[in-house]
Amino acid sequence: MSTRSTSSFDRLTRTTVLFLGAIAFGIGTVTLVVVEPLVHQLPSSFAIVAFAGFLAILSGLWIVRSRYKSGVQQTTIPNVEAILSTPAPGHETDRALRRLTHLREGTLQYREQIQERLTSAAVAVIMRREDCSEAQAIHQLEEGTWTDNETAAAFFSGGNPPKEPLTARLVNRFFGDNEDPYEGWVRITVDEITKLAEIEPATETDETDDASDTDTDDTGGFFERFTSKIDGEEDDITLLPASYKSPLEDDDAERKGNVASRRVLETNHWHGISAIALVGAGWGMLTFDPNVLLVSVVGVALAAYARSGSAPSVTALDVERQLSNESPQPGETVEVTVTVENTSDSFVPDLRLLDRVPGPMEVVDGSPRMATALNAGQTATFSYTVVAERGTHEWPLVVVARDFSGSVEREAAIDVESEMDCVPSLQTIADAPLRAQTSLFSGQMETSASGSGLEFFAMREYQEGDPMKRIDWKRYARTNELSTIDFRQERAAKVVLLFDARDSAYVSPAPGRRHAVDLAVDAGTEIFTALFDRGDLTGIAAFDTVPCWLATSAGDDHSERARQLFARHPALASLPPELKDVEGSYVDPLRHVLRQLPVEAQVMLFSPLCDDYTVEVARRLDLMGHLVTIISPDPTNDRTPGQRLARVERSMRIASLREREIQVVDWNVDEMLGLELERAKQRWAV
Amino acid sequence: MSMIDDTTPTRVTVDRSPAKVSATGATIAGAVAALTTAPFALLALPLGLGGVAMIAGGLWATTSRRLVSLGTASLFLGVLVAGGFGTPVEFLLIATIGVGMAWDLGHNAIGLGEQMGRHSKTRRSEVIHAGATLIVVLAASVIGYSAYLVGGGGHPVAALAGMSLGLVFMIWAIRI
Repeated sequence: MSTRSTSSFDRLTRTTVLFLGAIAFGIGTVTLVVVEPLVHQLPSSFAIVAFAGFLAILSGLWIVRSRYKSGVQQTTIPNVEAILSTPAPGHETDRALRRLTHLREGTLQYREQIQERLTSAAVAVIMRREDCSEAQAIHQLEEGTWTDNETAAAFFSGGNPPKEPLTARLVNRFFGDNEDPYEGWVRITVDEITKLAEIEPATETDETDDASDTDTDDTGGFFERFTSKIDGEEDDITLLPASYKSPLEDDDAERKGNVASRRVLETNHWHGISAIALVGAGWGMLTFDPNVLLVSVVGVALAAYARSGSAPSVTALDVERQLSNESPQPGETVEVTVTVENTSDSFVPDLRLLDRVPGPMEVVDGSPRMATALNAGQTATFSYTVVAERGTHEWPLVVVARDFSGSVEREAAIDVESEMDCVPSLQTIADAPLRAQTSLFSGQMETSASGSGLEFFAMREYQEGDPMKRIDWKRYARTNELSTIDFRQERAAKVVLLFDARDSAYVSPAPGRRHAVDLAVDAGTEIFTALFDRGDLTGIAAFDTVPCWLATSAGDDHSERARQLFARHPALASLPPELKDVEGSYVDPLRHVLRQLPVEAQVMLFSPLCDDYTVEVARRLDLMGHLVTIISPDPTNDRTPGQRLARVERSMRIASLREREIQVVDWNVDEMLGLELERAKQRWAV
Repeated sequence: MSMIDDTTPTRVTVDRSPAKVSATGATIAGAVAALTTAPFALLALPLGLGGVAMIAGGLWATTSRRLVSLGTASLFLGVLVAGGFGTPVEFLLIATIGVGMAWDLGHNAIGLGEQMGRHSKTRRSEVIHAGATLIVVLAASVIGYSAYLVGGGGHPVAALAGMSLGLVFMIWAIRI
């Protein structure tokens, strides 16, 4: 009983009622045995029995009502099987739209935000399509002449949302997906902009319309909608498990050794069961039916059972975790086996275990969860397979222990001593798309400058000071004239791989897909290796809250440093900045990178290009004379208006970059980067 | 191996639907309750069958605590109706045990499904949970039934009145 969080008032009334009840029951029992003197003293009326029955039924119904209102509580266990979900580009538009139409918040602010977003995208599309100035595009937009679709045209010329006929509204309300008129208006307008952007001629955007991505898996059938209505739950896609806090991070949790346990939680699993007792007893009394009265004994027993529990202790669990490979390569599968032993001398009747697999790793076989019961000294084992991701990982085991009846539970997290250290080896199959360039080191990049080298380039007149070994002596023997052979110069390139690792780059097409930073770092690792093997001088940099810089260099030490940096540098980590426990302030790439960037270095910029900032970085680098190649994994999707808008915006950005002769590899992430690079090379060669 | 190809291997899908063993147990318990109330009172039959259908629907077709609760309520109503039509007390007891088990296992199945998912090993905890509840209700029924047999009939109304009031008060004190 001590574990119950009942208020003192509640406890007092319960005790009082129990006392009164015991007295009444006692008198009744005594009357049963010692009939004669008492029967005449006590009120002998069936009305009292009926009154008791009535009271019982009423209170039973009251309990039913309170169960209906309160519902069940239990510890929320995070989803660890899939990789940490990151939002899709355009999610902020969708969120603003949702808040505006469904929650009816911040009307002005969100409306303005959405309007602005759509306007700038539409202007960019019109400018490109009509080949006109910004002012002309804005004019077209305001006049509504940019499209034939009247609804979409009205969006920018200050109209009102289209009115639906009443019948359509009714049908929509009860059977449709409950689309708000404004929401529908935005959708139609975005679709119109998308349509204009796609017909756009003479750009080399290989827009990838992946039919498999457009399947609408979120349209529940009637039954699902019906039950969700009576359950009153609206499933909102939580993009990041921000609400979940492990007991290890919770200040309220109690720490003891390597275990942090939270307070006991009442599950309310049995809440309402005494209605069976009360209604049964009441009905039995009202109808004077002892058979029905007896039925209430089951309810009484279950209520007493539920109240008797106290949460088992979780501090006496011994956890061991074994990894089939403690230092795997990224992408390799690792089998994890967890063994939990109950070292206490009491029985733990209900134990729910969850191995908190780190966010970047995905479970591909087995399950990191198990529910069991452990006697003193017993062990439980479960195993699962994960795909390793770069970095050093340690993770806790989450335990939820319940009593026999399941009416109380306690959550705890146990630190487990085992570490996975995942550092990429530098191996590659891809060839890096470097741009023609001359620099001072010898390497394998072909230049159009001549001098010393291996491959014949040209023949020219001898000039004083030419090395003897380059004089064509055969020709001298024939013609008696000195001439010099020029070879094609081979030079090493200086390349800096620059990663966009800001918050906005942690985006993926759908929950559970790898985000753009992971893809970029994987691609960067391969390209680094390709360049390194060719003898090019390669450096690494990232812009994020933490400065990241590895100067261009060569040699085995350099490659080892790069390896460690790819695996461990917080700026390139797989967890989004908000979930990293690294403190840092914002670092302006144009300052920290440019200060150290060698003058003649090329820049290979990895970015999903989901905002204008990276475009600006690329332009500035280009203006300063660096050759810029952008490798851009495409994280956009087309399920929601916001996502479609983000896709249009991104393709506009790519087009404007290409216009400035900045090479962009628009990498459709469903394909191998190698193929994509090959294709890009052919395109550039033309 | 190349790290770049993003061909995701067979991904583990997290199935949050109710745990199988408990869900099966709850459905069977509900069916037992429906069948034991039916023979003596045809009026209880629709309530019983409707209850089983709701429990099964809330556990197998979709996941809904509310359907399971409504189903058990309907089953219990069936028990009361059956009692009114003079069903023997043994049948009524078994039916009520069925109602209690259906409630407990149904909600436990949903809770386990939410926390652990159907792809995980949960059988041992489910069996022990169900077993413990079953022992409690059986023991209570045996004690209550013995008292019923011993008690017999023909008691003074004053005694019954005192005991009824006392009983209601005491149940209210331990209500949950």
